Amino acid sequence: MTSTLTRPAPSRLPRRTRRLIISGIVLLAAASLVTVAVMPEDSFGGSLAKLVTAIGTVAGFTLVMTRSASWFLGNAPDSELDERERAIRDRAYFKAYGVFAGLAIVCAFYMLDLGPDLGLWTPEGHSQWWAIVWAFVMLGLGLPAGFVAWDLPDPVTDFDA
Amino acid sequence: MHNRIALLRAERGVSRKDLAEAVGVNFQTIGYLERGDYSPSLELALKICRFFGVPVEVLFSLDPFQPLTEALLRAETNRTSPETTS
Repeated sequence: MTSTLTRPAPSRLPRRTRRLIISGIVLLAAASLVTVAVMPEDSFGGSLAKLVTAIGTVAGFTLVMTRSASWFLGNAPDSELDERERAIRDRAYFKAYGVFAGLAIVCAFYMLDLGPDLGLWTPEGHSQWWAIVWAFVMLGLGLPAGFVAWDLPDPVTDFDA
Repeated sequence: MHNRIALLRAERGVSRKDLAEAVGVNFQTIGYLERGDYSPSLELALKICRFFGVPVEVLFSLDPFQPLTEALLRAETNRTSPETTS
């Protein structure tokens, strides 16, 4: 427990700003899926929309995962955190597991049953399946940090009081 | 849960960092406790009480604490005219 005394406080944005960023990333990810499913493969506009939304989503995830507060709290060992921080992290992991498992089930149902039945887009070939795998890897790694960033209250600023 | 940590800290001239170091938590946690954004575990509550040297009911309560001025006035009234209040 003593290690919590010496480590520097991770810098944090206000909660409202953090929530806006997280909402933006979720919207970009949704837009990315829609462009892949709706936009024609060979059009310039479609390719550009796919590229922009994909880059935006990846950049957003990278931002959340590299922010010291959310990444640290999401991934630090128990000995580095105090009881409040451990509680925040545990809640974030619980929520992340629920979302990840839910999305995995929905995706499996879509790709194996609903998509082919309705003639909707489904991944084809090695590269598209790998893209799906990498999307899930990123999601799995980024979700706990995302929930930490969403849940953390505003920092106490008058440290010397 | 309600607490008087800020009051006792100000009374004793202890900073949040000092208290945090004494009880082994991050100093932000003391701020969240004072703001009422976090309820401590029993272990942390007892450590804070031991640091200030007061019983747990002095520092923590499930009900809101009486304002200090009101408590002082009542104590003063009890002291000057105990027969009217008892």
